[in-house]
Amino acid sequence: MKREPEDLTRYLNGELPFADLPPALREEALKFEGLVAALDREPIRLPSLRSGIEAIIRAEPMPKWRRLWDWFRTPRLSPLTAGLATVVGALAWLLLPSPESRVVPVAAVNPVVEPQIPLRTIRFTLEAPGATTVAVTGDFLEWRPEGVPLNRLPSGEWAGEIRLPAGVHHYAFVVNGREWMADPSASSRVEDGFGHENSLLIVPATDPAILPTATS
Amino acid sequence: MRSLLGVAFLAVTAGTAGAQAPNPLATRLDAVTLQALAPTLEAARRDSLPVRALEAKALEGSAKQVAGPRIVSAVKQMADDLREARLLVKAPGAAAPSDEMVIAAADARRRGVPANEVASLAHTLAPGGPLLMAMAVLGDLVQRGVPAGRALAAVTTLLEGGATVDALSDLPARMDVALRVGASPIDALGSATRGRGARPANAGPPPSPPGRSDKTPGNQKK
Repeated sequence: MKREPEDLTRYLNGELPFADLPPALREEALKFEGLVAALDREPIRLPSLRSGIEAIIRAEPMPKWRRLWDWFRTPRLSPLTAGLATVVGALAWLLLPSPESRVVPVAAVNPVVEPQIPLRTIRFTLEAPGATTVAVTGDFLEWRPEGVPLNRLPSGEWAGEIRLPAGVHHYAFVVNGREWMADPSASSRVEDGFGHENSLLIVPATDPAILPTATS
Repeated sequence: MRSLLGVAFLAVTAGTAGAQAPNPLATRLDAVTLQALAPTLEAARRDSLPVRALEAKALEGSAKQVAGPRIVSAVKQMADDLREARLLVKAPGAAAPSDEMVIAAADARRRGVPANEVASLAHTLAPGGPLLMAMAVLGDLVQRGVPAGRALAAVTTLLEGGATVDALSDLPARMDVALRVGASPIDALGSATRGRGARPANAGPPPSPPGRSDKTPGNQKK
């Protein structure tokens, strides 16, 4: 009896004739055969790669508008098109209505100065461990409130560098985006005309001739 | 081709945006304030004052969210200060002073330096010397309580001794060291100038060798 399940398996695998099955298993074997016969033996048909390709080849051509759209939106850059793009871009830039219109926007981190004026790097620092943001701004940035953000150092100090032209500069720190304060480490302060103080910074000129001069 | 069209489009768009780059005064001040400022700015142009500094003052007021009338008042006051400073620093028969010199002189006046001392320092220094720094340091000393005459004497002595811009800019910070331990402004100035070629009006014996301050100069930050 211990062999009975094994015999049934052998029978179902085709290794044992039905007649050799023990009588007790024959009914079981017939039940299994019934179940297997009831299964859908329709094979699963997968489209072949070849038939797929043939179907695409036989398909009707896309409308022109669709092909144009696909061409336009599909990125495809060759050295030739890149070169042509650069040339056309440069020409478009040069042929703008007037030279005055080609104003390069001033980046937030750059002072408002003429490009030919030599600049010196000035480091600004503020001890403000509890601050969430610190920025420096001044006449060199047209007093834009966002100024130039300083970076927080591990020591709790905030620091940043700006390249400034020679001359007299008034500046202040903006702490947490709203509190204005003069630089406590600056030697010079001047009343700002609004009831507070600005810090005064002198950037010495290496060549005095670079300082802007009045016309008369 | 698509890249070409894209770059051309961006160039034209950027150019158009550049053509419309607005004057910061027009974008950051209301129309009433702008209109009220116009006569002051126009007069400043006529008088060859540094208009840029006046515009910056207006923008500063806007950034600090000051009311329009107060901005106008501050700009008018500054224009008056600059007009006076220009007269003080312009030597007879000499070329027009630089905008920066006019601004530095106006700052010195605002910091309490009397007109005579401002004019005297401006006329003492040869063009090309450390004019701006000298004017700023004169203001620093007066602001720290040094009488204007003594402050001027200290600065001119340093300059006559060939002091560099760095040596000049060091002076207020060196003085602060002495002020922090309770020295009077005049004594602090004496301590700061000792060995640096300057002898304030009340200076007693010849200077002893200098001590070096570890404090970072405040005027010239780097």
